[in-house]
Amino acid sequence: MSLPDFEQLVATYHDALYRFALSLARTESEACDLTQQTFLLWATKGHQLRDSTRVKSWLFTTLHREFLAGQRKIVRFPHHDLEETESELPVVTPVGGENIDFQAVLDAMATVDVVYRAPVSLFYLEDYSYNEIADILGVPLGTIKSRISRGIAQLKERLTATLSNPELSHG
Amino acid sequence: MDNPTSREILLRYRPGGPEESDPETKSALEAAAQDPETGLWLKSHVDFQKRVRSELQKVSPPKGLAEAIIFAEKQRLRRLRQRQAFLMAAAALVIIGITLFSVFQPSASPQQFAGFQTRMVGTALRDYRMDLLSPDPEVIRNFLKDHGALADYSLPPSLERLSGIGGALLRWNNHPVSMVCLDRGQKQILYVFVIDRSAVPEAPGSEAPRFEKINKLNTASWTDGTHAYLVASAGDEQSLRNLF
Repeated sequence: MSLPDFEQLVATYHDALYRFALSLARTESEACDLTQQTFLLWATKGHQLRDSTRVKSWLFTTLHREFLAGQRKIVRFPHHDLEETESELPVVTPVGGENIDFQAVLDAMATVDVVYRAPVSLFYLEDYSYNEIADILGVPLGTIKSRISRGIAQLKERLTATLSNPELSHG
Repeated sequence: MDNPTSREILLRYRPGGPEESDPETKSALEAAAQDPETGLWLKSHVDFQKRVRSELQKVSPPKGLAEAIIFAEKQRLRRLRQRQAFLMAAAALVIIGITLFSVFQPSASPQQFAGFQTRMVGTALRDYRMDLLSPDPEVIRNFLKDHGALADYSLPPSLERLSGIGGALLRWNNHPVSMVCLDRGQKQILYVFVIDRSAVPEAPGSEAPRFEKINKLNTASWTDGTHAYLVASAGDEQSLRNLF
């Protein structure tokens, strides 16, 4: 199977990539830049990909790397496996889904630790398995599982806080 | 499986998702089914998961993003093609320049005659094949003439008196070279190489021979109106000079 041409690729994946980018970045403009930069990298390096079935995961991996490259200078985050930090996990208050809107979700997502944001985004946005998410992000399966759990716990906590105090949102 | 552990696992549970068949998830679901409180928590959490997923799916890129990406790529390709065209034009100019230089300066190298000398002496020292064996210099000359080689050469009288051994047609830098082998006596061969004067502009400019030792042979070289000559032979320089 041959690689798709550029316009076809953009038409197929730019929605999904933009969503992923926006869930990682805090602003629309940054998400646009990340999406465009990812396609530009595809245009210059995509031909090196031999397996056309991996186009989508290549794009997500590349976007995530670009995001991290932009973050690396300003953010330093610790990496802990779930087993090491179980006692630190936040108590998650059940949050109903009825009052959630996408802006609230995005705002809450933007406050989740950056290390958890990508796995949680891929978890919600795409039907990727844990293994596929681990492959895209280049981290071990166990780490991905723990990051998804911790990220969702944080997201839930932040959404709960937002919904109980609307002034926290959109800020 | 205890409740905290099952909840941690079920935090990342998507009903109908790829992890449905995961043994760890199955165990956590079984644990949740046996504990009403965890069961309620799971129901609420699943609602939360569905809602978050549904809301995130509503995000759409700003209008024109795809067009902007495609436009930027077309611009990049256009600049790339312009750059390639410029580089190809520059390369073509360089090639044309080199070609013109080589056409109009075909023998500008000061080493050219030295190259001819070295090559001919090398031929004399290595095994070579004569195209004709004859003791008669005139037979050799006629043979060269018949084969389109330079044959109207003019040798000093002392060389004209030597008997022949043979001759061969050689080429140097795409120019024909006549090789005439003469017998100096004492089992020594005198090699005479004749080439068109225009092929070696840096050759000595007079009929007075210039003597040089090249490799293991002593040589004498000179020119006349139309030919350049190189004579090479073993033996000392003085004995070579005595021939002129």
